[in-house]
Amino acid sequence: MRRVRDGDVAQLEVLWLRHGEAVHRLCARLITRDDADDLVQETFLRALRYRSSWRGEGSAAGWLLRIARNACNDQRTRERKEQAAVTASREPVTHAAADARADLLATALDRLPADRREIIALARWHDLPSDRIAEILGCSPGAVRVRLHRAMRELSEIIRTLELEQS
Amino acid sequence: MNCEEARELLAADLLGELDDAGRRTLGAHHATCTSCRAEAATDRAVWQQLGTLPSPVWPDVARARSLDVLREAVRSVNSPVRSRRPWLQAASLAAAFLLGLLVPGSRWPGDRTPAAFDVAPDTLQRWVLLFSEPQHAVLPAAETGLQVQAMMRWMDTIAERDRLVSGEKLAEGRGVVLTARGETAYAPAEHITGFIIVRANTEAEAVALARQSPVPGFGGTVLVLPVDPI
Repeated sequence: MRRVRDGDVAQLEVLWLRHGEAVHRLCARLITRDDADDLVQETFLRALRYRSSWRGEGSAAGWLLRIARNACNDQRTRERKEQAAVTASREPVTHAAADARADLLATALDRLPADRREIIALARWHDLPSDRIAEILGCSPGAVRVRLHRAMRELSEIIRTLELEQS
Repeated sequence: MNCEEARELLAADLLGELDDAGRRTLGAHHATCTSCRAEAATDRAVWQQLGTLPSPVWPDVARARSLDVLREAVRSVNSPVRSRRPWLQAASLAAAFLLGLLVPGSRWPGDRTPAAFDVAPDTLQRWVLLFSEPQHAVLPAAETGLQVQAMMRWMDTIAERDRLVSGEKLAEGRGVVLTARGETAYAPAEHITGFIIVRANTEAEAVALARQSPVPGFGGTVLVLPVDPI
């Protein structure tokens, strides 16, 4: 990332190769799959455009995931502004899960507020430690653990509600 | 240990960050607190299930498109002269346009100081940079071309920072008459050979942007004027 910031922008392709998959995974967990494809592009274009703002603190992966997260937030804001129907009609990528339990879990995740889903995505599917998550979310590692606990509680509650509805 | 502390330890455990001592402490709390024990059991079960969800698939077509877009963007940064961005060329072909704008501004001779900028939203104040390059008209064509290339490279750096607005919007927003041949422009008395419109938080930032332009290096001056929001 340092080389990219210092003008060797072709090195961004190396970052894409290393971290593109992780960026896509996060976007797909936070938005829809189709939007995730676009948001990966958006993430790397933003990284290129704002490369001079990278201060050399933290990892390149963390910086890219933070950009991806911001891009996802911007996308959600745009969707909210444009029309509620867009959100209602979107198909979450996690619905690809085959069995009933996974479907239920995916539905519960969809109902989870975006900020809760975000922390679960970073902690569970990116296997990031709390200090790296804190770097991405701009909070302390302690706050990450508190938020994760709340997100898990809320998710468990939604699952329980869904189970009651189904039974 | 209270329940609040136990919850944070549980989260640390889910994250794989709890050491043996922490695990023993958490276990001791759970041995005496049934509600925390139940919460922990549920959370661990859900956590485990989350790990079984399939990873989102990044289709090869989308992956390839993403890389293509990135390569194209990188190429455009590395290649300052772009024929596919006519608005940028139009803005850079300074000698083609004449512009008049009768408001006070700040002027300086050519001293170039690099400046750092934060990410800019679209709502920043607009500033017009008017270039005066007295020798432009008498330069050989090859040297004029070098000037244009230098201008485009500089404008690329501004565009990358999302600071470049272009010229057309000023014309619309202010009702200023522009013509490619200059016959109807209200040019100040001097040799205004071109302009661009940029975004900046303050006049000082706009001035810093202008100082980075190649125009002072060519013996010209740049006039910085505020533009009303468009």
